[in-house]
Amino acid sequence: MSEERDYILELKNVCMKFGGLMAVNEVFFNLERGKILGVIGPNGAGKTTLFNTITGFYQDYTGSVIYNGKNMNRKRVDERCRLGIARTFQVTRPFEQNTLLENVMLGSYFGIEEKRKLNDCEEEAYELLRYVGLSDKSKELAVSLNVAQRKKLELARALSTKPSLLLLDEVIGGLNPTEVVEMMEIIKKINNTGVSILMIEHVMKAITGISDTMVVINHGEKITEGVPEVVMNNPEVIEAYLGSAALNKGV
Amino acid sequence: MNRLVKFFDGSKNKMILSALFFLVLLLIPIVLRISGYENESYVEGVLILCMMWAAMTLSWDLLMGYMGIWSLAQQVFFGIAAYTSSMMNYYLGMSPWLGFLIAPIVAAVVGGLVAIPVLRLKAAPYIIIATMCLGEIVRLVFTNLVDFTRGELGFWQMEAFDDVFGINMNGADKIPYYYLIFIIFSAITLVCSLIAKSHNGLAMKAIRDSQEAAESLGVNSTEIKIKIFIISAYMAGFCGVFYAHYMKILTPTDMFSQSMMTEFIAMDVFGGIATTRGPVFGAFFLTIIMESLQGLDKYKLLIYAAILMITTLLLPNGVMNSSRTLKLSLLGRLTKHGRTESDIDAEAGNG
Repeated sequence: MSEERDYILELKNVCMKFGGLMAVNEVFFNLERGKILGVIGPNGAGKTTLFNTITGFYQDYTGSVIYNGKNMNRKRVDERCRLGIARTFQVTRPFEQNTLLENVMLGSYFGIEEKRKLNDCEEEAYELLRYVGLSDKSKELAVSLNVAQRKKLELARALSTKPSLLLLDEVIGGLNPTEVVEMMEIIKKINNTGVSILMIEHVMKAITGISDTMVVINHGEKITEGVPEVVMNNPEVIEAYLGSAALNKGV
Repeated sequence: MNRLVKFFDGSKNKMILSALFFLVLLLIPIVLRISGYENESYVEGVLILCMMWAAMTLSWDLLMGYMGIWSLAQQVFFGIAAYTSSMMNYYLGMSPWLGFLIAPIVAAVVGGLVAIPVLRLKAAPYIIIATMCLGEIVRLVFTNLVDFTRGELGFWQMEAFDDVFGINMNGADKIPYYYLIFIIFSAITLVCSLIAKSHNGLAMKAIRDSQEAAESLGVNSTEIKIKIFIISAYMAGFCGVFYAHYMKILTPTDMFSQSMMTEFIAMDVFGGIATTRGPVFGAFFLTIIMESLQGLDKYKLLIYAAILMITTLLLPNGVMNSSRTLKLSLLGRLTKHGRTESDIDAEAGNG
């Protein structure tokens, strides 16, 4: 038990308050390097808020976000990005009046500390678009994409910053079953290259299949964490998702 | 050569068209002089205005078109530079040429100062209100600081530019001024298109579409916004200095009220935002139309308003960005049976 583990992300008592509402309350967990951690919880549980504190969109949280052993508090979003924390958005935010290539090029130029030629970034962006299967649309404006393509673009964009920690906010929400399988394959491929992944997801089958460990959040508080099989059979988790009646009926 | 073509979005036609445009502008005064056309100086005067407004609209388009910051204070940078240069000339007797050195820097400093409050505002309406108020405040300050700015009396009869290289700049012959603004206009066009094609342009367009997403990809939006505000104001400053010593009359109402800004908006939106050709086309087209409708000067703002409304209704992307929309509606009328948009795209690509 006492063996020293290599954590890429450690959250220590993170709290985020909106007025009187504790959106995230004393949440703590660790993510081991190279692993996938699934975050689940009912709507409004505070999962996205948690993501916003980790990436720095909310600066006035308390507690600490420790990435690679360094405290990230007070660091701006773009600084955290250049250090290797990338994210996708639940409600996709493509740069609509830019081509897909420009969308991804932005990350490959600005997302890493070292400054390179725009031409190199362009080639890299094209490779990434091919990786997620959008290369045939590279010259089109992002406004023309459908939901599945937008999610893939978000992913390509996040990858363009060469992250070591990737936060995926419901990348498979709204996809059809075939697209879900495709997306899960892509996520596994990314994880195999050594990127640690923190993902929020509602599709239980998908997230339990892919996560190494899971954290359950309800009303801003962590209920439990552990390997997927144990977490999914935890009575508190079933109650949070389905209500206490479900527990009595033994669903 | 490939890099040069790429600069024009990979289109040789665009490159040739731009080269031709500047060549024609370069040759017009020479042709007019040789042919002995009697209204020579009138034509040159109109083209000087065209180029000046095009340069101003281009500098504003960096903020509004590329970055989506609806700053309505571009005339303030223009006016501040014009006033700085005139006052240096009037009070200190400095040569107007020195104005080009100092006044744009003053405008750039003001631009940087304006950027700070604007940065805290995200929604366009608040930025519009804040920058409009700024224009009004500056106008009132310049009207009331009578000892310093001569109030509503303004400055007039500033010195013309000193003669250089034996060229007479007294203004009787418009050709030297024509080439002076030609140089300023070309330089601003070049700088604006270089910025648009650089990594800064990429970041600006991303900030316009989603600032959060841009920041999550490593863009320091504060730094880029301040940088572009300063560059934009600096370029507007050059136009301001030229205006002061070419028009030789400055009043706070002319310089700082919204009417000049309205022209820039109309020119930019009419021509097509977030391009180089759009603002240039808009400025030339509207200036020439307004000049030919001299008698309607009183209704200028009314006409601009009508143009703005008609363009936003019919060609929301501006004239120069609407070749596809125009083609679609024309073809839709000619051929009743269904042709898909991609067919038309394919044709456009071949043609």
